[in-house]
Amino acid sequence: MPIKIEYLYHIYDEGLPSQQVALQDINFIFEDHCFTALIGQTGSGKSTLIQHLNGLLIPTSGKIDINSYLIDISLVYKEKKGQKIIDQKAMKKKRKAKLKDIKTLRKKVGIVFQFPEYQLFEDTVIKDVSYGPKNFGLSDDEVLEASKHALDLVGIDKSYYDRTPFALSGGEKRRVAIAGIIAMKPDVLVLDEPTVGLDANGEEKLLNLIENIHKSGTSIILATHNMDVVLKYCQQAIVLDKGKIVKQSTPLELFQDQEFLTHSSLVPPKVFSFALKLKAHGLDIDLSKIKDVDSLASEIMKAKR
Amino acid sequence: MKNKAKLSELLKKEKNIPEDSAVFLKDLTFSYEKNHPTLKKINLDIKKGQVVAFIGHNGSGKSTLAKLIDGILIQDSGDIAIFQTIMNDSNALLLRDHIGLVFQNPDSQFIGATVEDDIAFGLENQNTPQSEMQKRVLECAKLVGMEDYLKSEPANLSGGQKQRVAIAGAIARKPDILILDEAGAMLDPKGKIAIRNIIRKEKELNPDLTIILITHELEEAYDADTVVVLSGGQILLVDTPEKVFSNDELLKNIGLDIPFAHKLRKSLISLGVDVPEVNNEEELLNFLCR
Amino acid sequence: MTLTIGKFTPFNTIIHRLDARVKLIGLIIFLVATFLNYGNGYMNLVINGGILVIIIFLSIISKTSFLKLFKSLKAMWMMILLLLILNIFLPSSSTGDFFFIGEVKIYYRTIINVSFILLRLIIVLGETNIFTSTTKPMDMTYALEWLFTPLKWIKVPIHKFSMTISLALRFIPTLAEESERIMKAQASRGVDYKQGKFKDKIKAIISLIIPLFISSLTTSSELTDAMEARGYNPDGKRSRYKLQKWSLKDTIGTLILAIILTAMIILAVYQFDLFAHLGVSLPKL
Repeated sequence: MPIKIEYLYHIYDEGLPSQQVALQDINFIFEDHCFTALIGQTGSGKSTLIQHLNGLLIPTSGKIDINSYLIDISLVYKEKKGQKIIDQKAMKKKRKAKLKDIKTLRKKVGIVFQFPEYQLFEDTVIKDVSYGPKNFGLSDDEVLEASKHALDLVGIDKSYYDRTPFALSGGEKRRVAIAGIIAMKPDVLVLDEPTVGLDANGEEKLLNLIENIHKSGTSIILATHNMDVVLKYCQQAIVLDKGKIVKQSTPLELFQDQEFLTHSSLVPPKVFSFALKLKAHGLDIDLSKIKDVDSLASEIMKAKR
Repeated sequence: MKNKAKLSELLKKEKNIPEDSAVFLKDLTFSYEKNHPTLKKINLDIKKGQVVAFIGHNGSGKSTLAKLIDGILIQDSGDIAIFQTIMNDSNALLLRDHIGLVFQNPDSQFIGATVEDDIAFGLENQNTPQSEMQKRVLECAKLVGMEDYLKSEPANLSGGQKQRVAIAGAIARKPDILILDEAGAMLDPKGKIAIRNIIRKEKELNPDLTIILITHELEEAYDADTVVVLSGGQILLVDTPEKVFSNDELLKNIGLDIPFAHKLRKSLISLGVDVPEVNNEEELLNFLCR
Repeated sequence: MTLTIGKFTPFNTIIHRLDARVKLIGLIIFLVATFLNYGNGYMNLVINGGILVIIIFLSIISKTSFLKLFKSLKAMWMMILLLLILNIFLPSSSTGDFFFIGEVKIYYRTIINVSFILLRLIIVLGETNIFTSTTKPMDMTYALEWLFTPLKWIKVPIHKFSMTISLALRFIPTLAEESERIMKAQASRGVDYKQGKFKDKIKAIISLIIPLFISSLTTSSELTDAMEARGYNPDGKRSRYKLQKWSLKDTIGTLILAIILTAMIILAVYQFDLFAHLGVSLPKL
């Protein structure tokens, strides 16, 4: 399910002293079944962009087409003293118009926010995971099945179903919360820094889980600071800076663009810079094959032979 | 005169604790729930001017230990001594003046309404005269690079900026021991680096400062002289970073990442290459390009 | 984002720069002036009209949204309409002159009373709005603490109250942010806070309240730790970082306020009747 974004602008507190341009001139297509990385420092507009994908935020202007669900706030003009100017009133009216059938959109695009464990509220794990699918009007049997499947995916076993989510450990809570979104069976799964605060083990488990969901046919959009993750899992990368897309490419291209990396203070993954060093020393390494430590090791083997 | 005598009585130094000890823990035990001790019989001696890293997985008890040292939590049994003085109910507040503690969450430790108010909070508690406070607030704001934001409110600051302010607030009180409890964990890479640099700078300016870094990130722990590995409420190992981080088995067991060079070496060995033991990337690179 | 009523807006006007204490005194003086009785209904109306002019003037120079304030208070307008109708059909007293609109007998007294209530309401809202949107919440607390200083002499722990208020004010934006975050997260799970059956709505609210409650508990316990870690002792002696600086404009402001207050008190005490003085005859109330 592709998501097409055209000329998207988002301005907070328009007209006030605190006015802030959060996104400007965003044009992008999230392709079907793609695993996309969204990279950018805090305040680069990542979170704002994500919230446009399921209609939580409405653009100040621009157009978003989510598999033919259209949010269209294109510019409206009017004549004034012979000049063409933007009709602010008409724009405002457009932004305020109620979105039709917003639930279909929310079901298509599932968003896992940062620290999702804070959204838990039911008294048992299974009830909490069922809450989303239930809201989207599935039958009780379907809900139960989807929830069990989702919990299974995140590695929460049956013995947990009737426990209260609040007594679980931090990592478990997070997995339950993520299961709550997966159970909605979205076509696009958006995750905002899902591994923050987890230790190395927890992080790896969670990423493997996301990769599995991707393989089962779901598009993934992952906001992350972790370049190792970008290299290992992602097919394309978007870099945001001060509300603008400053780079869109494959991770391979991104990490080879030394000038860009230094300029935007991004540190390439150790695996990749090590591979580059080996290459500089004359080893014949195929950079496109480098994903993680293991693939680097086998490339070294090939080059050595 | 009487007050002074009372004060020296309160801060009496224990003779059998080493003179160069900043934090001395003896058989320290603590539990949040009965019969489920979070910390079991911890014994540790942190020397003056040392940089010590506590590492361990989530729930290993490292944050609890920080709060005990600062007297925010009270132990079930065992002793804590700060500069040879054993902590008790009546001197905990006095001993706390030696310690600055920075927590993980940028939002819940921003106490003041603005940056300057927040930095000043600890000074107000020490009853510092206003003119001196102003000087000190500016000094500390400069140290963390927030001098242009003195009047800013927390709602308009990033997480990284708020953490820098928290550090300034802790340093403003001129502590002899600075504890950072995962101060960078909720920040982006830029924010983490900024905090590491601030701590290095402060240590350079003030070499006598004892620093305790609580972290689950390897990079951070490399800044330490000594690494204390905690797991399940007990100390597993106390050693130099190099020694600890070459112990892959241990790191894996406590859920921490293994240094890159070790990982690659292992992977190569599993593919049948005979790689000698290496300490860092440089050595591995040299070996591979030979 | 719409402009929230009464929320501090960071403009830099002369009113914003005034000392919070002057503004607090001003607020109190205007409230008192509004509730004084100046003799008869006509005089009350005229003097409150005068106050309204001052309030509008202050609104304009302080860039506060006076008109928006009333546009957004739709519920209030409904109430006023109801009040008007009730008063016309069920007059509180049937004395004085009256006139007819169709079959309905309307007393002048009713008209005057209703407009007076309306005027007072507008003034009270307007002046409070100016105070809250030009004064930082923290400065308000300082001003309040200053105002209540006399209570310190009888050992009322003013400092603890003001610390509590300061912290509450400090954490309102944080809580607001948090609740917005949770609402968005739940909306992504298909919650509709605006529509749906009553039962669904209750559930929707629970899905917001419980996480919010848990996160506030966490925040407050973490905050307590942070305060303790920086040596806070509620019973200890604390110095004060922020000393409010009194400047010339504050003295001038206080003088103007004092003149207004004196004038109002004189008017109220002598019950000066302008209309009788000018010889204008008005319908009897």
